Amino acid sequence: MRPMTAIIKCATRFDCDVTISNGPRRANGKSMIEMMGLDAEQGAEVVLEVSGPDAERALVPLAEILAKPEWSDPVPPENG
Amino acid sequence: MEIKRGIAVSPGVVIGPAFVLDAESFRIPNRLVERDRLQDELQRLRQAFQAAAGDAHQNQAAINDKLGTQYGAIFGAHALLIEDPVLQREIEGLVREKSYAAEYAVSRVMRRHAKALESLKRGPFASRSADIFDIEKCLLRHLLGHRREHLQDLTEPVVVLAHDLTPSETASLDPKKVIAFATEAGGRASHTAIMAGALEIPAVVGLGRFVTDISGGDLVIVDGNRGVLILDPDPETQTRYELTRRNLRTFESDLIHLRDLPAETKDGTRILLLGNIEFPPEATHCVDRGADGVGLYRTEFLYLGKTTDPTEADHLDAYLTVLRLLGSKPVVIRTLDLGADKFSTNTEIVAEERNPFLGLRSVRLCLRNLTLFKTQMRAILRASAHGDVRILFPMVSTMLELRQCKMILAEVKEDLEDEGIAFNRDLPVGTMIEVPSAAIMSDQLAREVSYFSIGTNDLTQYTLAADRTNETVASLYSPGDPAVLRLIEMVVKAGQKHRIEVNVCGEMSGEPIYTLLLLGMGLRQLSVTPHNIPEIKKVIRSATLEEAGRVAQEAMCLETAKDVNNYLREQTRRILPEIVVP
Repeated sequence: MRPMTAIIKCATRFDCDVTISNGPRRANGKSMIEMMGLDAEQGAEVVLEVSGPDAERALVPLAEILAKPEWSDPVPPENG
Repeated sequence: MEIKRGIAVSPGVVIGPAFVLDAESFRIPNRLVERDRLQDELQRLRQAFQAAAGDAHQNQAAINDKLGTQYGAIFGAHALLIEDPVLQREIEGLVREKSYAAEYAVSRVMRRHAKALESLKRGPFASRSADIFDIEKCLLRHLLGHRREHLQDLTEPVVVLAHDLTPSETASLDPKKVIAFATEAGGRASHTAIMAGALEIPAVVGLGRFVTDISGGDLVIVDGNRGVLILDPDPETQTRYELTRRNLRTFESDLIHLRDLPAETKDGTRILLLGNIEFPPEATHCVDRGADGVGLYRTEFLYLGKTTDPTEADHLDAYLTVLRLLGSKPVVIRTLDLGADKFSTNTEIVAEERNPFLGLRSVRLCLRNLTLFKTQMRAILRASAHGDVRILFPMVSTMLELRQCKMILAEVKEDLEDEGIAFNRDLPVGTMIEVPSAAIMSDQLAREVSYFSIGTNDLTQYTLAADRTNETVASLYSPGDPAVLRLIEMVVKAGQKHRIEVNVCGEMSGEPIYTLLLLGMGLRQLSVTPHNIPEIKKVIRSATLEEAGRVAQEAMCLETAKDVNNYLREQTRRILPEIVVP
């Protein structure tokens, strides 16, 4: 969940629309529930789309988080 | 609309609003609100979101301190879910556009998403539905304040839906408020099933997952005759079921006036119709239906779901209650018929059995736990001083076992004599015939007891080596199977030869298509679930022994269970055209 939390927190800072796609699945990058539905495994290749007023400024920070090794980390331990 | 199939364990057809029993027994009070209340609802919703988000952040801070940020992050994720703009928009949308109450909107949206997540095969998020339910609970807790309603607080009749019901939950079901129930877990012989039958509440169990697909207040249909649960039925289905329900009620009300008429064949032979019970209050059902007594008092419930074994006083209390209700009519009390796995106070270290049904259960368990056995025997003997009591031993598989049981009984009698406690010295002793070896040896066993009680449920299972709760082989299970019929015939003949009473107490006796057959084979006593008494009585009163004899002879020539059942169905319809048989 940690990488997603980071992405969402980052995306929410910007006004533009953020969309992350995993194959045919598309998710609003500001919505936890949609991001969970992406069903992306570790090492999956995803596509980042940004559009809107501050889109250019959002691109780099978001891309960095996605590219981080954390995203490819094994899933954090299940709790309860 | 979703149709789910499970195991029918208690008959009846019901249409009603769902009461979803989840781990915290939340109940959604209303599905809809009036349009002029919409703004208030939206306000409540926003407050609940804020409060829930506040909780999540607080939890995160606290857990960060205690266990580190790795664990605290989980609550961080929860907070993000609660603050998720997409979710909030969806939920508010339902309130605004469909006038849903806040609680209902939350539940519907959350459960839909949870279901969608569960269908994800790969990835780590398939198990995240648990988080969704957590959030749902969180929001509901804030919306409902401390007004969490429990089963006890029901104000209108509902259909209870749950993963499973615990003994205490089932024991507290009020048939006036709980008009039916359906569970994901459970088999035909589970305590849930037994309770449903006992309380005469229509029920279906073993449905597999469905609770998460439904919200409190949704309309559901429970068909306890066919074992079907319908979630959110469409109007056409609703109409069809309304019709079925009315037809069934007409047939049933015709049967009620039979109560005071004797269970006598057309050619004047009186058949004893007895009742099977689990709990003292069910004895009332027996009396209400005009039973000739209790042919099987299952005593397992005294042991289930308790942390300590029942004391002699606990036993005696229950038995005396039944005797008071039955007056001078006979009551057959069966000793403990449970497996070691069901025991919470099992002191013997028993490694988990690979075959509990072929393992340490019933009299085998009792013979290794004499304190248990003797306590129950003492209570049964003491009760025998207050009414017509008989003792019955379950699952006897050898002559030796039976003799051992009788020896213990003799010892207990001696003890009571020494203590000067009153009891019936000639307490009739009987054995269940449910293990094939007992059926085969019935000729010898008949010399040692006053009566036999044929337990066709287990007899059928053991004879055909098929677990009726296992859907992959359940089709092999049929009491009409020629092998089972031959064993029953053997037992009846042994009983006739040694002049002892024989009755059938399994489900077979309560199924109207087998009545002619059983009568024709020579049985003169049937012990059935009280609910079935009127129907069986009607079949008996519509038949002659001569006819029954012919039917039995014909049936015994058939080679498959299917042929037998079809033939019997046909013959039963012939003498009683208006009977409703599945």
